[in-house]
Amino acid sequence: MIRGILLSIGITLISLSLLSITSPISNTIIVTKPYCISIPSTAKVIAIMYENSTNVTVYVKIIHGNFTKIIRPPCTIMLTHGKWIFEVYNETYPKISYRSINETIIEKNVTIIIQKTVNYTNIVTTKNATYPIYVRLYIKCMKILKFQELSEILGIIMIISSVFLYLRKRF
Amino acid sequence: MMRSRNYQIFSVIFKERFREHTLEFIIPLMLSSNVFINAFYERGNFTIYGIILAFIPLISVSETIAFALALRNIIFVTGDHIYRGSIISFLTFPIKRTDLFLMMYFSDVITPYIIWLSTTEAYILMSGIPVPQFLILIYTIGYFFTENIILSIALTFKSAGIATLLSSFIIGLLFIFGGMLNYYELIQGYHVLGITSSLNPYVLLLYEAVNRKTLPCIYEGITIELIIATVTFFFSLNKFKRLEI
Repeated sequence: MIRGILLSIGITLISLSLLSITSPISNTIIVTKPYCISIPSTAKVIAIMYENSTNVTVYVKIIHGNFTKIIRPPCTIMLTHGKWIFEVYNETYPKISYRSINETIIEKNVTIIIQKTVNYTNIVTTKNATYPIYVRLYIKCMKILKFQELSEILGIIMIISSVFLYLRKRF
Repeated sequence: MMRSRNYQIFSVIFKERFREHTLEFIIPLMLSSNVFINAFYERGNFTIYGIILAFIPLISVSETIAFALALRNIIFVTGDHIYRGSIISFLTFPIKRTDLFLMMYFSDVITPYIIWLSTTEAYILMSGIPVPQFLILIYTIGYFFTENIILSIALTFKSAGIATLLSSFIIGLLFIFGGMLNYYELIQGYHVLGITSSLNPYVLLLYEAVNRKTLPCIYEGITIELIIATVTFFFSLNKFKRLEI
């Protein structure tokens, strides 16, 4: 029984250490508040940042450990092991506002004052995320085990032990 | 070397449940089926939500195998012995009934649990996924809760068919309707959530993960489960001690 168990666990450990999930997974996250993600060392992840609104200029602050970077989407970065924080740093967009103006018209010696509403555009720069940014996480691959070498060594030791036990019983 | 008498009896009981190639098949299967933890963790953007999903019984293959193995041991080995009357050969062993019951309980229920625990912990260690040990504790208590109920049913009705149907019905009812009750409790206010959380705590765990809130009533539910598991264990022990063939 012990021989069989050692052999089967050994084969399983070697198989697990050689395998990885390669089916790509893509998730889109809408970032309005700071978004935090912890990337394990076993995963290969790409983050694609973009802004859907055409006339908005947005800057994204990316924090990873002691490293902080402010970039303008669209951009693509490779996420390495550790904690990553994405947040809107600054956004600039044109805002249409309305105001009332009094227009004076003199017609046949009569002065008429007309109140008109006119629109005008002003450029707003804010740190609030009025327009969200989109972060598409593209997980390319994920290894099954973190300690692959350890698992391989354990697997080989178990297989050798099972063979040794088998031979000892046989001879 | 002469082994002790108790060890020899335990060896007979154990080998009857786990004959050649059962463990050789079950242990690597449990170990390798934990790849779903990775898959759910990846799918859930490396959050606790994915890990909780991977640990829900019936979704987790490893947990389901442990549960099914214990269920098969209780109903189709111990229960079958009682139904056919062949338990009498074990009762004639020079050993106390309590000790015999504990040996059977260890082989039937605790061994699949130890296999599950060791394979899962080894996998968590090697994969480097930060699985909260609270999830292991919740499954542990839930496992003993359900298996002790099944054991009580098997010893009470002494029929494999009735025990299978009744235990499937009761456990399914508790898990599915318990989950639904928890869901409505979460929507409509936490009136009796402490009691209903004992039926299916995974709904509450998912709620906690999604809403980033803590629900202390989960501990109440776990305590209730633990009490029921203890009561059903002693009930089964008492039934076995008074067993008449």
